[in-house]
Amino acid sequence: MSKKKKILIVEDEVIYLSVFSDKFKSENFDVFEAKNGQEGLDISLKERPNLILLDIAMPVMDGLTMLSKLREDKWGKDANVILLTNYTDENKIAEAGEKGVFEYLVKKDWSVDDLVEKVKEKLK
Amino acid sequence: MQDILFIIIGLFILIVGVFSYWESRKFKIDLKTREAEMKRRMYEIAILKELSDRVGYSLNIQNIIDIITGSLHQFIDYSATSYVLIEPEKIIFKAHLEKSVSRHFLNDIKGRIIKSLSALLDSDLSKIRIEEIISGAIIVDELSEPVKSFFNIPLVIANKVVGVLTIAHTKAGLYKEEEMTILYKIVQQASQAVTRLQEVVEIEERKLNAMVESMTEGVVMTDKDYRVVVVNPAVKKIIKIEDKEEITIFDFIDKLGEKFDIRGKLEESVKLDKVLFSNEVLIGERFYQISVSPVKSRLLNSDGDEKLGGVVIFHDVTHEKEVEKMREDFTSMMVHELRSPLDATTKIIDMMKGKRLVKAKRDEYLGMIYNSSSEMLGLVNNLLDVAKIEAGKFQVFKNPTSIRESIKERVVFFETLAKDSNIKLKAVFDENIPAEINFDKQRTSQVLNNFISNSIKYSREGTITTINTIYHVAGANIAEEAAKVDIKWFLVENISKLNQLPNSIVVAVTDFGSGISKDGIDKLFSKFNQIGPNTPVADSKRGSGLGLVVAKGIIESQGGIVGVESKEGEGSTFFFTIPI
Repeated sequence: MSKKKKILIVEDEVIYLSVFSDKFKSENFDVFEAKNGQEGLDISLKERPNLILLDIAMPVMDGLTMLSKLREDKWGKDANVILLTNYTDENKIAEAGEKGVFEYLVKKDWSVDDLVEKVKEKLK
Repeated sequence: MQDILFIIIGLFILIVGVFSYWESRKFKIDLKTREAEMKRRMYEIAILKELSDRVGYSLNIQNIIDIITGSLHQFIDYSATSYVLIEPEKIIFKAHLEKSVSRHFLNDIKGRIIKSLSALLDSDLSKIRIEEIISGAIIVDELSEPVKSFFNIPLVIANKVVGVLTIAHTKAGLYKEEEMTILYKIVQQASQAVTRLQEVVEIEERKLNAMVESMTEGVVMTDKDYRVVVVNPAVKKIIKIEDKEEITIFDFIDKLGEKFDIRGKLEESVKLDKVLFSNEVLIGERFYQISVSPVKSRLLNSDGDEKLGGVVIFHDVTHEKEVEKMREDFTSMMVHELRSPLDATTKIIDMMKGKRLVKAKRDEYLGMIYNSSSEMLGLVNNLLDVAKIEAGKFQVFKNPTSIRESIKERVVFFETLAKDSNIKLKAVFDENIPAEINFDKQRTSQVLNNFISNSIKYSREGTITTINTIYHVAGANIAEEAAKVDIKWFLVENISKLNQLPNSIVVAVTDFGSGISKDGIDKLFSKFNQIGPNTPVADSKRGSGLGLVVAKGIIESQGGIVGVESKEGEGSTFFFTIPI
């Protein structure tokens, strides 16, 4: 039996969190949820997920700040991260690029199915 | 006897005859003189008329003199007519030969005329360059006739001697003063006309200068050789050359650099005879729209216009640009606000399609769709309201209603939400509040919804949000009135504004939460405060905040005022008033 892949979804908007969470659960992932950057950081370091889906705009601690802190950790610096956001702000994209992410995906451009495909592809 | 009679009669007839003869001769001479006189007068009038037609509005002295000399041959006989005009760097000597003369003849005239001019100007002109223009018959050196008749008239414009006009002939005895009177008159007329014209031009020039000097737009005009002829204080300030005395086109080329090719544009504008507009050019910290127009003047007796140069105008559009940017930001923000819930809803529906879901899950999804849709509907309604408010078309419908009941209803409505956030809601009423007042219940409830939901959102857990309603009497001190009701609020600065109100109901919603910064407060009720690309990420989830803009519109449409005061880190009080 192949081990279930762990995925962490860090997203403050309940709708997206629910949808993504349900979807990945139905695709046989082990899903962890976080509503802000702080929670996301804590869970990342604790659970060490195979992939982190990270939103940028969040209260308490935003996505880019969490990413910076994550990269300071021994394990965290190699963690797989996909940024999911509704910002099409170029500055943010550039900033994220410097911190090393797999992809920067604009949520509205991707259907949930396509997103799953993308994740699976990255995890091969 | 009869013989003597015949002799006497004969003599008489003879005397009468002679007398008649003398008289008729005198009469004929008289007539001839008069005829000559009339002819002269006619020539005078004709020439003066021709002159005034052709001199018109030109200040080109050379042109005018040419016109005069050109018409002289109609009533004066001459071998040559010539004139000298003194210019800053040279003397122009122009001669028109009606008959061929020798070089000697010409030099004689030149000598006399220069001497005459020197005397008039009381200066030595021998060193100055003389530019010679000869026209008409050719010079034939073999002809030996010298100058036998000569006449000159000084040319005076605005009390300054500008030249001398002469006529010369190889025949002697011409040019008596009597004949020259007409020439005097003509030249005098022309002089006077030009002098008057110069004065008028000077006055107009001064008016124009005054206008250009006072313009806030920068103005610079160049002639066709790109020499700066007009430059106003405004443009000096724009290009930052206020201290320079002599300004050249290069000052502009330096300061504008690649941003705007001023010389190229001037050339293009004149060549194409078109007004050219630039896009916004950033100079220093402000944006300018630059326009370049050709400057022309109508030439006499020609179909074309003389190109004098070009004028460049700098128009400050910084403010317009800022407003434009604010509008763009606002629009893109609104679009973003709608896009998120729409996308989320689509994804949920995607999850629901063709799948069998547990009831609980299905209800959860449907609930989320409902919330998203409501959120979007709320935003769109707010946008519509804001548009109406801005257009002055926002309407409120007032009816006598109980404000007490309205507020109590709101408290009940928000009870659950408040409890979930661990906030307590309380409403306190002044006993003097009338049972019914005239106001728009639905819209005022909307305002209360906005204030109360914001309060709950930003309150610290465990605190109490109070809604105080006070009856304010015009002229009374609201702080005293408030104390009687045991009000809790942060109002300090706005008290004076409230004290100036007529009889009103004052409703204040106070919460104990994060409070709002000074900067934040100024922009709260403004459409353009809303989240933009530069908003710090943590603030981005506060929602579009158009609700406050609409609240302001509603309350003001009812004749009241809205306001907020806050202590950062402690809490805020949002209030509105309804006049009674």
